[in-house]
Amino acid sequence: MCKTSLFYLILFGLFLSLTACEKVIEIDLEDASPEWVVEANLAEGKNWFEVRISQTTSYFSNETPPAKEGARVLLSDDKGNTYPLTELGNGLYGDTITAEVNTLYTLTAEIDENTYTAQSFLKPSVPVLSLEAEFQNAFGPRADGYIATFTYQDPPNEANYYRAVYFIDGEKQTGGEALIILNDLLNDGNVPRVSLVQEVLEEGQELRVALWHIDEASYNYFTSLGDIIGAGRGPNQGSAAPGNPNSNWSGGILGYFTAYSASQEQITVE
Amino acid sequence: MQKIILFILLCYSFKAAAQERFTISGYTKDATNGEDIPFVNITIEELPGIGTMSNAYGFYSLSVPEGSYTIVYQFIGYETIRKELALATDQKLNIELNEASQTLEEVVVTAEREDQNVTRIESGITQIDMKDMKAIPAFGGEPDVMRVVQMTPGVKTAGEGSGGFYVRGGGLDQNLILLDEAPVYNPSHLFGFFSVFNGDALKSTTVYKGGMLPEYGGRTASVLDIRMKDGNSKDFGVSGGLGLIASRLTVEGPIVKEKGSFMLSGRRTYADLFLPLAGDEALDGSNLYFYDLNLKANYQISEKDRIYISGYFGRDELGFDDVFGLDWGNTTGTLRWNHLFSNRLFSNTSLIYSDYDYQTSFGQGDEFIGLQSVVKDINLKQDFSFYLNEKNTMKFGFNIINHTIEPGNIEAGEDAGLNTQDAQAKYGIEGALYWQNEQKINNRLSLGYGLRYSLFQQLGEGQAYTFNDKGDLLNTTTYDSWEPIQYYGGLEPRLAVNYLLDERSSLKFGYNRNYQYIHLLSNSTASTPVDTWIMSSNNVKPQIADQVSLGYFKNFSDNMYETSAEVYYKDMQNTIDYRTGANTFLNELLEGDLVYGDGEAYGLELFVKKKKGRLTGWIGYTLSRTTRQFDEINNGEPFSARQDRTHDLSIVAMYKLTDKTTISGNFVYYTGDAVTFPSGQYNVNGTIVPYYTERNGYRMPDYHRLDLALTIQGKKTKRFESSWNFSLYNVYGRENAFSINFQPSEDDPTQTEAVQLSLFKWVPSVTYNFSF
Repeated sequence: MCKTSLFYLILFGLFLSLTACEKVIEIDLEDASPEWVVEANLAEGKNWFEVRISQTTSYFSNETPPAKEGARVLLSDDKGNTYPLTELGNGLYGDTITAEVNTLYTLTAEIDENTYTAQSFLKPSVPVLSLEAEFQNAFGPRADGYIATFTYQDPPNEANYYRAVYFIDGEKQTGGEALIILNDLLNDGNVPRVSLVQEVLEEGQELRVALWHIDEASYNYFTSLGDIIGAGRGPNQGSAAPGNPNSNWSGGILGYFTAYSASQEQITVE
Repeated sequence: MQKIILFILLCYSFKAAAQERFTISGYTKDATNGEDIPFVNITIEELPGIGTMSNAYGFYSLSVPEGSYTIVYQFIGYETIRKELALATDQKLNIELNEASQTLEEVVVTAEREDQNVTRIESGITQIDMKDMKAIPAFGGEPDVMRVVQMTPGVKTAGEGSGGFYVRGGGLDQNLILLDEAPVYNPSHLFGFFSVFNGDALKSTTVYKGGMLPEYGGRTASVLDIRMKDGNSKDFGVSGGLGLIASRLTVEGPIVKEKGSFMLSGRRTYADLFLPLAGDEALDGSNLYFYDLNLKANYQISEKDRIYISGYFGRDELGFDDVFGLDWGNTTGTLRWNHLFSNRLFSNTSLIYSDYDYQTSFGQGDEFIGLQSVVKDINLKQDFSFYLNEKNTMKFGFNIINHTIEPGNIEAGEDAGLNTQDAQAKYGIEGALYWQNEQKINNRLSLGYGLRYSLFQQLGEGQAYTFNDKGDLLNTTTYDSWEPIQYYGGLEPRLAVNYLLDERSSLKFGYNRNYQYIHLLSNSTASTPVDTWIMSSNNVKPQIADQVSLGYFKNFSDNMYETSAEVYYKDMQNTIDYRTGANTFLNELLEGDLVYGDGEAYGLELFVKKKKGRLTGWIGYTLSRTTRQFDEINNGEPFSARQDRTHDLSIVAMYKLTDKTTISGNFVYYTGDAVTFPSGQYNVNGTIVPYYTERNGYRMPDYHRLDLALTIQGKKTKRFESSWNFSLYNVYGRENAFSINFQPSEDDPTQTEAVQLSLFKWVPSVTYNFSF
């Protein structure tokens, strides 16, 4: 129901924009002691797999926090295979991995003599059925332009979770607005339509949408991430009391490990 | 019912034993329009310490020995009446009180003895003077009783853009808001900038924030009891107002002179009429308005029976062509029957209906999506007031409420991509049985005490779920229609003590325990129409609050100044919060996303009110602290609740420049809300993400604001009165923070910044009011 909250926000915004004012202010924030952040996305098939280990830094800091050197990172699956990853420097660890569907993957990271693990189940892909862009007039704060909509076939009688990632002219869109997380609570077995209302496209632009089929733990991570950075934010940061996203890492560190299979569609806006 | 009859018989035997006593009973009314006046203070000069107060319907009864007496009737804003009589038989005495004159000279000389705040047994009660509501600066020119309520000590506004309020550390849903006894589930219009209560239709407003007696219950923090006007039973009258945002019109008059009356009041905004002026074609075909309708009628069927019927209907409509629609509103209805079993036993039976619903729709044709959600109550309530003797007034009764919540019914077109389905409706029965006695021990000491037993039965049909500590589903059990699922019940003891130190000052103590079985889940601070209400269930225990309070009340200068100092301590159990990442939207397993904890609140409330003279107004100050503790949040450490505002100050002043001109102003200041800000950042998913280390560890900037208004009375004739009201909200243009967002800079996504959003700088308004 990403759509609902967005429309609602636009309306609310329209009402407030009549009188509201925004300004950047100075605030003193405490510096928390640094915490580890481990991020990894494992795609189905034979792909380059990379794990990034970094640290938190003070909120207004411009400096990149020191990367973790000398960690030991290991990927394993429920069929007994293990894949030790190579340290690449700059906090990166990687290797070429062939990931298979319907497999439970475990990622283990040994950092400063502490061992952390995260698990993710790789689900088979769900095909994108259509992707099209349609011209729409300006609406509230949104300008004239093309709005893309894609559909997919949700497998019936099972709980499914998705993340949609999209690329404009080959460039992956990041940031809170581009974090699209879906479930099938209200459309199990249906053909959901998802509009990328936050992205006004121009003629000639190339849009590629990849639909990741993810497991529940990954969904829980991304939706709670969306609560604090995403489009799901309400007029007051969505959640009245934000917290760190629900990580699937053991041991209280930040970040996530997700295994996914993707299907994609590409169009040129015209 | 048998028990009640037995009780009545028992009471009659008391009467037989005290033969030398006679009863004076009757109604207290307004002399000009015949409206009942509730809560009139009635004392007997010859018998100090003896007295009573008329009830919510204006009925009173007083039994005293044979003799000659001077009976004194007093009510705020009315001239005191002294009635001398020789009592040798039971007497009916309906009293009509005259409003205290408006003209300056008379106000100065009128020296009423209005000391209810000192003499009333309960502490923690604020009666709102409806004249204050009309006199203080109104946002958008709409007098709003909720704004006056929020400027009394112990009551805190939930902030701009929210119709909600916090009472003594309680949550937004812990206030029972009643309109003619019917609960109002969403008291807000237009995202909380206006309340649903049209000032023209209201007669009285009373806030019970502590020490409430057993007749009230259902929420843990407070009761806001709003009553509509009955309508003028003597003459027809029309009154209304034209404002920049809304217009109001009220018609009232007798049905049969002095036997029955009616009142019909409506209000509508017309902001939508200005939308085309925005010059934005996309806005054509858009709606943005709200309206209210209040109606009430009453009729005296016989000397002993009176029937009232009242209703409220209000809606907000928001729409953009066929693209989007959202509308929401409350409907309430109350049917009441007052019956006098004797001149000492008053009965009121109410049948109450209330519903709140919202509907939203997107698109049209095959892509149409519609969603509807409803909260519905049907309540049968029976209350008796029994005036046992001059020292004891008892109240007892029961009520039974049928709650239905339909969280969401979805209707979707073929290509909408959503399934047409209804989320499982929830059913429950809430009941209560109470008895209380107000007793005068001697000239100085009065007590109010009693018990309330409340209960809740969760019913099928539907599924009940059990969850593990992490909120994962363990078990599902299916129940048939009306099959009991979970039962809760508890005793709510209440005690109020008033010790008069002297004629002008008193010490009061109060204790009350309250249970609450219906809860609001709201994850944003702004008031949204899509609030989620849930009932207690096998997972959600009732919220419980215990409160003790102690107060010192003193009036000065012939009651020209009213002052009070109160301290309170409140302990809360089973308060509700979310797990991180909870999905509150039509989530069947929502209860697994909730966590339950405890809360604590304490504070000091100071209040000074000047009630007479050219300058009137009050200063209210609250020093308080409120915390919450959940095992799952903040590592189990207690944290400040959002509304934990250390200081909260309200100053309200009205000054009569001349007979016809009044200038008024109010100033509010409060410590910023406790909020969660990041204590670090990291990079995930190509984006900067805030890192949080504690819940509500930071503060919003302090809030303060000054509003001014000028009211000029037009020429007053016998038949026609009018006035102009000019008001300016936020006079010195303070940019108060509505929210602070931490986000990557738009110009440079590698930089982070804190962005403050402020809603209003200045909001001027003009309103023209009339009555004839």
